[in-house]
Amino acid sequence: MISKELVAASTVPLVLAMLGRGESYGYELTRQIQEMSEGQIAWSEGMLYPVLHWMEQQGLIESEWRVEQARKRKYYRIRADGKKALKQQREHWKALNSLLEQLCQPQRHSI
Amino acid sequence: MSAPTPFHLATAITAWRASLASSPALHGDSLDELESHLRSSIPSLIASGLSDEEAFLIASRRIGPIKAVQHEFAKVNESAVWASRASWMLAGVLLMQVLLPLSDLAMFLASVVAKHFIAIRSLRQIVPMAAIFGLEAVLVITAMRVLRSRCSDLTKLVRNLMTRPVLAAIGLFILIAAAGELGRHFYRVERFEPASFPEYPSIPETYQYLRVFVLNLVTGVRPFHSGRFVAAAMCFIPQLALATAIAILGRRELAQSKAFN
Repeated sequence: MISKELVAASTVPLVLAMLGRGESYGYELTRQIQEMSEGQIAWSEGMLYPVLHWMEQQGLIESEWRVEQARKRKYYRIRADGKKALKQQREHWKALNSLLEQLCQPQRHSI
Repeated sequence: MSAPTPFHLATAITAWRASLASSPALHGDSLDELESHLRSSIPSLIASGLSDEEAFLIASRRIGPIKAVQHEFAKVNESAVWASRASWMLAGVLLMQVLLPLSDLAMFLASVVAKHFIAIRSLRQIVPMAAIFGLEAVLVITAMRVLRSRCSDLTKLVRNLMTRPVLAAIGLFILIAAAGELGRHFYRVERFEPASFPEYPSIPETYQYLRVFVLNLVTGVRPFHSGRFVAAAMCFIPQLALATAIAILGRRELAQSKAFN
């Protein structure tokens, strides 16, 4: 199970990436993450919404209420700034990941 | 032995939503969204063989503990939290304005009682002071009790009033004006104007002087001499401004919660 801190730090890029594939609503986003991470990421589902609202405030995403099958749902869509942020975040995560991998390589002893 | 109360899903969801709504950080839009989430996750749980009650418990547990959810929302919704705090503070200031003339009245009544029934001079001076402190102690204790029992009728009344901010502001304004007039009618504060402040004041006189000084600071104008009526009207301007501020804050919160309905 991935730690709470790491999940919190990665929520924004994960949400941006999912919305980059197409618009979606909160319930679907949590389901997708849970399925794709094969249960590795378990979060309190309610915590996703403050993050979504913060992202909306920052202009990364936008939202719209729709009624579907007699149920009100708030759909989120990625904006241009969000795409930019996603690109940047991916680079940061890649950099961190490659650093971690390099450090985990067996050290070559030079004599 | 009583039979267990049957579980009603709709009632449980309404109650769950109401307890989430106790934080000002969650307005109608966020509540709608969380409720929609809860409602979306229940059917699949029921389909997997759980009862309504079990499905509700699991779905609400997945969303998270109410306090924690409120805490997270408060982080991103600071302005709403502060708007709510500010309106409570303003309401407190307005309430003070109602209480000041009332405590003047209590002091007056106590001094009348003391004059007639107490022979020792020094004791006579202490009685009005004791009356004021007694009144204030009672008010503070009552306020604490009301705050502690969150679901009392009074808090319900305040919540209902918050949904009609203009009406609440007008009501408070009338209450303040009435209390102010009552206080002034019974107790002539103008005796203790700075110019006429006695050379060797008694304890109640000093206390009263300080009280009038604070009252003048809060209201800005002293409505006792020339242009009495204009001045009296001007005296209410700060109070009217406060009431308007509350109305505007309340309206803003209402507008936010209605935006998506």
